Amino acid sequence: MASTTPRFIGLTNYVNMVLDKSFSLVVQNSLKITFVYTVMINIFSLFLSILIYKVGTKFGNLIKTIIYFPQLLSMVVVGFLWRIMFNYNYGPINSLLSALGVSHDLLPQWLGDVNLVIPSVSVALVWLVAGYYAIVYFAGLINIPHMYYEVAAIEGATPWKELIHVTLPFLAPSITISTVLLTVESLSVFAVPAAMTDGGGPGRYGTTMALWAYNTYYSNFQYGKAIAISVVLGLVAILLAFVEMKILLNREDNVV
Amino acid sequence: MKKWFVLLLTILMIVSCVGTSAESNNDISATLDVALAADMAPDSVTEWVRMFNDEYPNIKLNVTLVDASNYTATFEPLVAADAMPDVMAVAPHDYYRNLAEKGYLLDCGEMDGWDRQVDFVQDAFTSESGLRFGVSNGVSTMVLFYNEDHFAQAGITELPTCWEEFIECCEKLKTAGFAPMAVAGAGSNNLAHSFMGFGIAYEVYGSGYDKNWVANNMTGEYDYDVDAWKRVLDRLVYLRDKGYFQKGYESADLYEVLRILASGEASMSIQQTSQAGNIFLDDGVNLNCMAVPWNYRGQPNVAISWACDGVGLGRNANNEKNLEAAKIFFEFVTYENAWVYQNMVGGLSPFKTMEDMPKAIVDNRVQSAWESNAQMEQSGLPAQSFSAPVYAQVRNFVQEVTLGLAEPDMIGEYLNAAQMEYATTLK
Repeated sequence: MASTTPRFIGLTNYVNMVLDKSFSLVVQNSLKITFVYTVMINIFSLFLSILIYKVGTKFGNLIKTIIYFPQLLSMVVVGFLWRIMFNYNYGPINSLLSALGVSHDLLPQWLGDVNLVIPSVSVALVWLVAGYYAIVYFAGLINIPHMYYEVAAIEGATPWKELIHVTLPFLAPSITISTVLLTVESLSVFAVPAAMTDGGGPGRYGTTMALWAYNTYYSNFQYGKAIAISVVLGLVAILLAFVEMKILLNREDNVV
Repeated sequence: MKKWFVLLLTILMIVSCVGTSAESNNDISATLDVALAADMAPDSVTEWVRMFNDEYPNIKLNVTLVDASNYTATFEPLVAADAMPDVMAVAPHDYYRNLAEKGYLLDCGEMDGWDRQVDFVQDAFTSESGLRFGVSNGVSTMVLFYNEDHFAQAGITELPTCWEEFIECCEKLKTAGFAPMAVAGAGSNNLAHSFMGFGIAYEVYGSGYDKNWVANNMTGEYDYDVDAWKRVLDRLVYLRDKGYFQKGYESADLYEVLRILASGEASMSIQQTSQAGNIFLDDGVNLNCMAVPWNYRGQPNVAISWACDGVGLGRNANNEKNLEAAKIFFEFVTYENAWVYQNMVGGLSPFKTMEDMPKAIVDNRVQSAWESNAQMEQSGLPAQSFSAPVYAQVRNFVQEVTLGLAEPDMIGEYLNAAQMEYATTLK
């Protein structure tokens, strides 16, 4: 039976963490998820918020309701929902592909292929999170004085130039806070991949840092190592948030 | 006369108000915190609660359903708060032996169900210092479930009795257009119990390389980087490469595999008898089960049998007040009405004789497979035979081999490192 009396072992847990066969793969997975959060979700949310803004109140409210809906669901429910969506045999996505003529042998193993598992989890995460940040950006958009758009229109600005020179500068504070929050949130992604991938599979290819810490604590009973992973995760989150705040706040100052 | 009548009536009323000094069980009032496993047959918990509420209306139950594959996520915070449930799910595992040693679980050796359990189940639920910390929900053994109709259509008239015949059987099924085996590529625990379990049973235990591997590998100084262990998953790779697994096995989990097997979409699967209730649905698909023919021709069979998870008594601040009621509920689910669970999972009683669970409906197919396996030598169930850190790597390893991400001879690379890490906790 393993010893359960705590004792001081220096940095052994940190060394074990780095030497663990899972370490580099799990870090890579977490970095991919962080990229999805900070880049893809940010861009998608921004796109959605502009869409809501452009279509007007009536359809805008409908879109807001639809995109915010996933936030009302438990993350575990979201995970299982997308697990069904991506199921190889009876999932709606593969059923659709079959209906479109893709042969059974060519249907993707969304959650069983090591190259597709993180992209599949990412789709679920974008669906879950983008609506919330779209609302955050929308709140920023409606506060932009309309005269700037009028001036841009008079001067013949294209929609792209309008976005770059009017919308984004005014949204800088919203972008700063959203990016920092999304980064921190991305490092704690846990329930969705856990539910979608049966605890982080296939192998460890669907395991994030937070999920690894959980499995290490609750399945492997390596309490010290799990806490070491969590401490590293916490420090990385603080560091990234600090760097992002520094860069983005500087940009905000330059814009103003 | 009137006075006498009033006096008599008064005396009768007074007498009627006097209670007996010893309360009957039905008079005990308490509110119990109960945490029971819900994975195999959640309806059994619902049924127990309904029956108990009818019989003991004064004992209220706060029921939590826990995920059997991860009890610790529920119990660790309660351990930290020293607020264990009055009655809780336990498993024949180091974690619970440890809880028992530390006093978080109470001895239940005096309860009715304890002595009735078969010996190896009692051993599994006894801690290092002899504390008896739970009564099992049942016993289980790994068997090969197979579809009789598929076998008949593929022209298989004799059941395979060895590995060579099993391969012939797979080939005939494949030729007949069936998926020979249903495999849960996404269920690492299921892969470990089936392919890893039988790989070890034959390559390590049956071959004579290490008859005592369960005890030896727990020492923290075991070497898995040897030929016998490197061969453990060779047959998994062989079956996979021959195309004997169902399409989409890579992402199929246990429940999908059970569905596939039960609905006749695949011909065979290695599963535990405790899943019989999910497989033998008796809806037109003729299924049966048999010993897993993993032995080479002429070699003896090895079986994998074990004590299933069970129920224990937790220690908490209310124990003195609640203990009597907790024991009533414990007895209710582990002995008096244990049949409710057994009948739902289609499993096997943990008791020595059928008289101890008279209402249990035993499926003859399961009983027959159990009796056949009981005659064989026994290897260990991986989940109960490795240290937790090593078992975590066993699950990764078997799944990655199944998916072609690792080779069987890389076992040392996976398990030795975890073993060394585990060894540091033993020092």
